[in-house]
Amino acid sequence: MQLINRKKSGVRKIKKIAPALAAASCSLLSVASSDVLARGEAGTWDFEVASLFYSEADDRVMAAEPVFSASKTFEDGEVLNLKAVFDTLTGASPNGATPSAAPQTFTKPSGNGTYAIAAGDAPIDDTFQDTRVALSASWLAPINRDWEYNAAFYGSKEYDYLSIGTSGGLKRYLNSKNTALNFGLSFSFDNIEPEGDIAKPLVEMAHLGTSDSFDSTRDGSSDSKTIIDALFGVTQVINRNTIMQFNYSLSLSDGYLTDPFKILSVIDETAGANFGGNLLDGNGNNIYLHEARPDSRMKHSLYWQTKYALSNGDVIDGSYRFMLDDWGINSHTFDFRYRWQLGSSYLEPHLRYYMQSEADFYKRYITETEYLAGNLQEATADYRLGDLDGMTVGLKYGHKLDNDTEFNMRVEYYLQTSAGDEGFGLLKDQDLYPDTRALIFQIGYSF
Amino acid sequence: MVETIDKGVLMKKVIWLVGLLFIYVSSSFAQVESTSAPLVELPVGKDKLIFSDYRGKVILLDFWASWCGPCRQSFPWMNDVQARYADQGLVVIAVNLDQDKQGADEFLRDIPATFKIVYDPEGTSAEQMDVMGMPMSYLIDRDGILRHRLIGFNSRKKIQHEDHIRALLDETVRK
Amino acid sequence: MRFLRLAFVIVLGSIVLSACSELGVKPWERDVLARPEMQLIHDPVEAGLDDHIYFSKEASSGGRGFGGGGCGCN
Repeated sequence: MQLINRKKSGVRKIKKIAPALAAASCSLLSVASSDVLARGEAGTWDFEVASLFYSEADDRVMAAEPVFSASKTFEDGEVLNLKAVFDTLTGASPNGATPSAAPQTFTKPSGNGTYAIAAGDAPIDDTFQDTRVALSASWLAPINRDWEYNAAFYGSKEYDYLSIGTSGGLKRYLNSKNTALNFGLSFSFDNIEPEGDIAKPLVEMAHLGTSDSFDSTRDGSSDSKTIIDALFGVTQVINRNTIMQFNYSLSLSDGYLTDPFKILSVIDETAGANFGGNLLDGNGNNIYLHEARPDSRMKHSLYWQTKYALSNGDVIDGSYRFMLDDWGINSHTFDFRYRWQLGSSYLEPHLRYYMQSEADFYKRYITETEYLAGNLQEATADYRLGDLDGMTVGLKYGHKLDNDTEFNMRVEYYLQTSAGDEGFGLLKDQDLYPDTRALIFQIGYSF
Repeated sequence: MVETIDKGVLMKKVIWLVGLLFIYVSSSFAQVESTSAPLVELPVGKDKLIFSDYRGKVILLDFWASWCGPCRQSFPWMNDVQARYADQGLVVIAVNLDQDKQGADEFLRDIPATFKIVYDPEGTSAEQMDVMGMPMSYLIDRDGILRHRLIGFNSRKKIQHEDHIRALLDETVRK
Repeated sequence: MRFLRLAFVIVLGSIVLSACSELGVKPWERDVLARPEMQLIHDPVEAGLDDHIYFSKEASSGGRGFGGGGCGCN
């Protein structure tokens, strides 16, 4: 969970019942849930407390993320949701450089010192430690029998990052509420102010204790981006046991989309002992460049979901998402859950499969030739923009204590595998695409 | 993958698309019209509701189910109007449409009803009355003529509905 | 533009579908669909936490409701 990739979403909780709650629940833009439904206990507050623990293997990122959510359903079906999410993360994250047959020394992004990586080890930056607080409020209300609107505000703050956003949506029911059309628009503004300032794009990382000037690699103390999302969705009741949803969403990001903490290695192409090793500068230090991404991104997503209830009370939930963007990435996400009802308890196995292609400007490393030509405009070695597959296997257990109270927990295992250019010379001996493995544990209580 | 697109052009197209949808979408609002002939009977489950049995009364005929959220609000209100207007001739009849009576029983344990409940798990009565939402209630005047329909239930509709009830109670039998 | 055209087809298709379809149920036949676990996003807290994880580890996000904007995903 690198800084640059934080996400907070408009989570909130339904609890036992609240139908409207369910409808309100979906995210800020709240377009997802259909409220073909049911029992909202008007005039009461519903609460949910949950905590997520996320832990990557090999001492990488660890995060704890408690969530507090409160919803109130009013007499006329309006739903107010207030939510607070806190998260703390510590640990190390790949900095983008390739592993090397020789030890490597990197300058911390803050400019305050260096960190060393042993020969053959994956270069990871362990200076991450952050705490984030996110608050959101959302409101959903019927306008009349056929229309419903929602509005939400959101803000989050962490040490070097601020994000604020607002969204609004309209829902139109048709065909005796068997069909619902959803429209949503959202706008958000993010500002990053990293310790040690913003790195200039594709300039060489300064080596501390040499003639390099750290300050000359810096370019302003903060930068920002705006994100506009638009969504159109159709929810359709198929029959008594089946409901289906189809969404198209468009997302436009503009501004500083680069990760100020990521770098790329420059690899020596000259025949000889260092062929495939790190290219050295005049002081004999490895050359690394700060990454640079385009300053805009347009994403399209198509999302399809179907839920089907079996006659024994079990529920099957399947979804598929296709995403395409102008960075050259496309991805497929398959998600499947089976809720196995066991009296007042349930067990829910979960399978998720994700695959993405790499961004046009993704490079595991920069070659000497590319470096010397000096005409690279954009490059990243962030594996999250590379060719990537992800697999999640999980199990959730829930138990209803009474009509109003539920306890649940889940354990999931997440495995990411990457692939790509295997390099040449010395680089061939290095593991350029290590797996990422994470354990996810969540515990929740709603009342 | 995607050809480079002028963002302005794209946004225009998106706005156009959304506009088109709104035009399409802002059609359709089903108006309720009153029938002028007296209602005769309504099959409810294995029984029949014979409207002439309530001749001279104002009937509030309500359709509900245990899983319906607003029904939890309409029941206390129906208890209330039943108590207040029974003397003046109001009769409340609630048709339960649960497939499984157990749900209805639990609901009634939670929110006991002081008015008449009948059961129609097949939904034939709802079909015949053209029930359009849950809950839905019908006001039938002292002559057995269907006068008002109310889809859904909330605090605003409650007031409106009660005005209708009072107005119908003020009328006298014409025939 | 290819994608936008596809979106058009989908939108128009769904309008046609919704306008003349025999799909759906009567208002009193929603007992199963009314169950909390039949809501499309039945556990929003969990969905939000998941979105956070995958947003942080993958290049795609959102789709289900809103990703990116509004929720301050960065």
